[in-house]
This record gives sequence, structure tokens and C-alpha cells, in this order.
Amino acid sequence: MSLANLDRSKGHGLKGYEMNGDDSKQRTPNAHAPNVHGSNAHGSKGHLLYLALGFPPAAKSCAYRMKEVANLAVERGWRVTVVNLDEEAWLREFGVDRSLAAQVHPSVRQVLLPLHRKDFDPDLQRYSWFRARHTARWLKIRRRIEKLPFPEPVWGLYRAPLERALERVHREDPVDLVMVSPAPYVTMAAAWRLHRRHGVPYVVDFRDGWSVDVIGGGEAFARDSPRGRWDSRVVRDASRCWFVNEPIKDFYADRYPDAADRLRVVRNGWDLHSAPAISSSDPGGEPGLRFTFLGNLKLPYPEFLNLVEAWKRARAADPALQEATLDFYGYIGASYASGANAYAKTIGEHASFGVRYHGPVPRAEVAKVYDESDALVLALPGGRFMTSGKVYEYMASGLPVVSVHAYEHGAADTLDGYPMWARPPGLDVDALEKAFVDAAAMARSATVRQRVAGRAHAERFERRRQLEPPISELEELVTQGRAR
Amino acid sequence: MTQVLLVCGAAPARPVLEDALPALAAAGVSVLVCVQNPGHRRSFAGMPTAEPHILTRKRRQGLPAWRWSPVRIVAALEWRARLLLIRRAAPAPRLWLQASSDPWFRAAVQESQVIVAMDRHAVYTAWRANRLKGERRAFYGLPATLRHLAVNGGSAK
Repeated sequence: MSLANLDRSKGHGLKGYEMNGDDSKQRTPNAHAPNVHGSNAHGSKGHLLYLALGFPPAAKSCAYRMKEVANLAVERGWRVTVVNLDEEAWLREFGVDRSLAAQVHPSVRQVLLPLHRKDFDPDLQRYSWFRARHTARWLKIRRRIEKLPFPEPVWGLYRAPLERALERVHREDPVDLVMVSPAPYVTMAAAWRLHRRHGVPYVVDFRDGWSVDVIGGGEAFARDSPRGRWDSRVVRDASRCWFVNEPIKDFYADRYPDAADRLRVVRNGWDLHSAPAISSSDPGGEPGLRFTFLGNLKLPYPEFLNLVEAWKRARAADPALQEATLDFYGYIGASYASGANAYAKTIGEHASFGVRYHGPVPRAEVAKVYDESDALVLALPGGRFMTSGKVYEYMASGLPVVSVHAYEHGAADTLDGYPMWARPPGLDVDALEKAFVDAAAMARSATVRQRVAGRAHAERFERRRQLEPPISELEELVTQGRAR
Repeated sequence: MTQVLLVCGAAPARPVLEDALPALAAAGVSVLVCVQNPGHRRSFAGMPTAEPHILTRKRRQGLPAWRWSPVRIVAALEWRARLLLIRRAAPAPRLWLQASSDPWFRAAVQESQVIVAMDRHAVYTAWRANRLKGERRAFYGLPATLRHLAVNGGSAK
């Protein structure tokens, strides 16, 4: 159902969002099946409602963390209900990865809402004359409307259906704890409402935070702005707030001193099945080194041009790089711009320099991509507030890493001590060229011992190790709540 | 045999074409391409499509031979007025004004089952073409087209 229909369903309860109806789907083999610890639904540690827009099969970077949170919660005895959007919603955006969905624990119950982004609707038959003729003006008006119920473009209109969906889940099977994982931040409004109406505690897995500008650094919006007021009330009433790194947590602790004791750092990490096996023999120095970028390309375009130019120069300067390739895997652009934006054009124009784009990679094949690579390119936007999830996976591969990001960067703090790291002092072409040449030298001389040392450096960032302590804390939260 | 018409208001990126067009060809789908600018044809070099067509206006045929014939004068005035309209139009309607007076385009629309707008300037042309007589679908971008035709391209997984 589109948002237009959603508006029409006002005043008719959950029309179009009936969870057992035709539009909304539930995926659960058996919600009350014994979990891995052998306890049944009613004997579990409680009912965790996980509001996670971007949960698998969505092909989004947040899906890996969401999947592991849900799986771990089930394994620890929680009854988990995930509220997510249906497959069509993700097909309109970055697509779906069914290999990732296959890794979700079968006991996780899923409620899928048919909310689809109208701005990503590819079917021109549904366009009005105004939209077809004045696409930019239509979008501008649409963005204003979207911000009316909640101050967030694109997602603001989802507030009412999300609130109704949470209410319905709670009515069917009372919820002990809500975990919400923005972005989109409108999900926080739904969790907050359930808390106000029924006293259900909630945890916000902010990941990057809302009021902090992780790309530009500093404050994203003022405290007395509409977004600031929402951020403030959500943090005030949250039982816990999780962030992916220390700088973001510190920012929130400074902004909300009263909440400082409820803020936690829960880093991203790497998954065991996505790390390649490290071969037992040293590389033979074959010609044609493969430099790989894997992920969602978000590097600012001018810096991306520097990267490509530096690659061209390094290829010309270093004979060892003459047959080398720079391979991009992952998503470049969403929806109709998928593989068709300025980045993709630039890659296409540099095919003769070994620059290639291979499209997205299913999660199950990620280890193979690392296995076929000789060095990895870590191209990231932002500064000290940005860590990215990719850096952990890159380290776990044990391969040489070329940093293409600001010198002072969250990822640099994580990479500090990694044995095969080419860290340029800046993002100018000369510095990046030297980094490529250095990384090529590392790739040619890399030994098994060095790769094992790289993996050892990443060991502490294995995702389960990061998630187990905070999830244990959730159990204490609910136990304390019941005792009161 | 299914026929797809790609409408380009700008030069498309090679990667999306390299991903989708061989997949369409392998599925037995024939692809026609029309571009606004001759330079845009470069993106399709080596692709499994027919030679891209450059949108042009054809002068009316069958006009009287006499230079000062009233019919001929009216046709000339109409031609110049339309040229002025095209020059002054915004990119999206300009593409439609060019396409709608091109006989190749109108024939291609009639024969195609799917029309694809490759960029935002081409959306209006694809939308208008889809409203011409006949049964067909129109999409914005190749990923949705591949999904509609149940063809697996790399980006459409």
C-alpha cells in the first residue's frame, strides 16, 4: 500500500496494516516454538519488540547489526518480534539480499508493514501530470508534507502507521521491552508513544546518533528545534541509548548530562562468516594486484575524483600496478539511480585504467570477494564521529588497507595498530597516490604471519563479543522493571 | 518478442548499462534506444542494442512545390514556432517536443511493450509516450524494468 492509501485509511483503525490481513504479513514458523535454550514462549526472558526498519532481507549496511541483535536475543531466551517494512519497500530502495535473510533465526517473528517510498516509485503509470512534468517541484512539496507529522523528511508520514503497528503487537502479546534502531528516526516516536501509554521501557540503538552531524562534525540541529525537542524527550525517557563509538556517546553525554549513565557504546563488528580463510602459504607475487572497495560508496564526489586520479597516477608510476585493477562492489546510488549516478559514470569512464564496478554482493559471497582481493580501499566520508562497520570486516580479512578518509577519523582510531595499513596524511591526489604504491608493496610482500596478525588485531571486534554485554544488560533492565 | 525502448535525456552511466543490457539480451528482449544528443551514443558503444536513434524533427512531406503556396507558408511558420518553443522549453518538455515530432520515436513507442526513462529529464517523455494509444508499461530506471520483466541483472538482485 502506498502512502496515498495510508492517508485514506485514517479513521479506520489499521486498515491496510492488519497484521494478519492481505497487506501486512507476518513471518514466523512458530512464534511459540521452543528457542535454542529449550524454554517456550511463555517461559522466555520476555517479549522483545524490535522496531528495525532495514532488517534483513533489506540490503542495507544496518541489516547485519540488526540481524545479530535479533539472533542473539532469541538465543538468550527472548521472544523477539521484529517490525520491518515489506520486501517491495526495500526493492524500491537498495534491493534485497535473501542470503542475509536466511541467516535470521527461525524463531524471530516478523511483522512486515506495506509502507513504500512514493519518491522511489518507478512505475510511471502511477505518476500525476504534475509529478511527471515538474519532478523537482513535486519532490519539494512532498518533502514538506512528509515533515508535518514528524520532523524527518522521507519518513515523517510513517509515524501513525508505526504507532498503530506497535500498539497492535502489544495488544496481541504484551511487550516487555522495545528496542528501536533509527534511522529512520520516526521509529523513536512510535517507541516513545508505547512507553507513554503503556509504560513499556525502550532502548534506542542510535548507532550514529541524530543530533550529531557525523559527516560535518558538531551539532546537527539546535535543541529547541522540532528535531531537537524530539531527540531530547526520547533520550530523557529511554532506558538505554547505544552508540557505535565513544565520540558520539560523549557528544550525547555533554548534551544530556542527566542521561549520561544510561548511554552505552556498542560498536559494530565483523561477522565470522564474512571473513575469508587465511591461506597457509604466502602470496606468490602474481601480476595484476586487485584493490577492492566493498560497501556503500558515500565518499564525497570531489574526493572520489581524487581517488580515481591517484589510482591512475599510481598505476603509471609503479610498474607493479600496471596490470592492477580497482574493483568496486556494493551499491552506488539507490532506486532508479542504482549504478547510474555520477560515481558510476566516473568508474565507467576509467575502465581502461582497470577501474571496474561489479554491483552488489550477496552477504553469503562477501568472504569470496575478500578472498580474491590483494588490498582493500577504505573510502569513507566524515571525521572523528564516523567509524563505519566496514573497517572491522576489512581488518578481519588481514589484507593491506588503504585509507581514503580524513586523517582524524573514527576508523583511524580503530585501525591504529593494524599491521598493514597505508594511511595518507590527506586526501589530495599526491598523498593518495603514495598510499596506493605503499599498499601495493605491502600486498606483494604480505606474509601469512602478517595476515594472521591483522586478524588477531580484529579479534576483539567480532560482532558477538560487542553485542553480548549490552544484551545481557537488557535482561537486567526487564528484571528490575518487573521487581518494581 | 518483448521490445523495450530506452529514452535518454542525458548520457547514461556505463555500469548500469553493462549490468542490465546483456541480461536483457540474454532473456531475448530487444532494446531500442533514443538519445537527445549525439554524444550520448558513446555510452552504448559495444552494447547489445540497436544503433541509438538521435531524436530529430522531420519536415512535413508532400508539400506543394510552389514556393509561395499558402500551405507551404503555414507549414514553415509552424516549423519555426515549434523550433522557438523547443529552444525556450525546460529540459524535460524539450525532450518531449523533440520526440513527439519524430516519426521514428512514435513508431518505436507503438511497437514497444516497455518504455524506460533513463534519467529525470526523460520521465516526462516516457510518461507522455505511455499515454499514447496502446498497451504498455513505463518505468523510471532499469532496475524496476528488470524486475518487471523478471530478468536478473547484477544490481537488481
